[in-house]
Amino acid sequence: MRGMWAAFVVALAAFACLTPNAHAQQGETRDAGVAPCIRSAGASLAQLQKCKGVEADPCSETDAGSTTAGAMLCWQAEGRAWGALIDQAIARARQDATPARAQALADSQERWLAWRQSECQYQALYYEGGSLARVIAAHCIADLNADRAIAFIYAERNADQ
Amino acid sequence: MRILFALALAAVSCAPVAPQLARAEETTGISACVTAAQGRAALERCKGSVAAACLREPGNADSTMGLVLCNDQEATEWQALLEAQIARISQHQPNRVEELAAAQAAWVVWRDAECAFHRADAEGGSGEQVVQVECDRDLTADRVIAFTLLERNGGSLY
Repeated sequence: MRGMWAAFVVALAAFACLTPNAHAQQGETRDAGVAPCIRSAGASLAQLQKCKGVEADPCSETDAGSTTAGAMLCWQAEGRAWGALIDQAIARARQDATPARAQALADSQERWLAWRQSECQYQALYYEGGSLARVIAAHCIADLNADRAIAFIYAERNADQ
Repeated sequence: MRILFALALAAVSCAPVAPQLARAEETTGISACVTAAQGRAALERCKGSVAAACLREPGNADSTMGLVLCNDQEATEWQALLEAQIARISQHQPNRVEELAAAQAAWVVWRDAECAFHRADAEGGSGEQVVQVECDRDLTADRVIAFTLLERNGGSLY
């Protein structure tokens, strides 16, 4: 059981490192992706949340994306797009932060990553042993990345209200 | 006797006004709201509902103590729901109990760190307590909403 999980985690890590070419093979239009959606979403939480799945949902409807492996690539691509937004939001937050605040942010982000890993292992276990487990893990990571990015961006855009 | 009564009245009227918690029927508000809510958007609207009712009581919205108590009242309700959900899910998914416990433990560690980061924004002011309790309330609510959707979806969120 532990060996199987170790193999699963290694596989997950390997897929997370796939090149953008693997994503491009899904035939998505990246310009209509997460980042443009967030740019035009304004400060409303509901509008920001509508950007979740904006890349992976149409990707999963293509021929390539309708397979298990394809669906996983679709969600991994969406996860990377949200991950980039998190990185950018953290970089902006650190710019004017006091050392104490910057440290608190770094601590929180480190613990959030640990929780995300643990949470997505739990979610994926629903399909224990099946190939769907990898899709679920990728979907879970994309979903939690989106929630984290949206939380940062919502706070930024509503900071003065 | 009249003098004693007048003194007692004066003492009461000079005492600091204690924040008034919401009425009894509103203290069960989160559970009822979550049960009635269909879909994520409706569940999201439950966030803040009990605190808002409590803050409408005279004096609560104007004092730090009122803000803390009202938000804490709601946070406590979300926490009770969360604990009940975890107990139920553990019972229904015995093959995932260890992983659920690990995920929940990691979430608690993150929640504390995240709320410490939010507190850092308050920079030591009297608002720090308010920020802390609002953060606890909101993150716990998000977790309850996720588990509610998981339970309604037969055990999986995705």
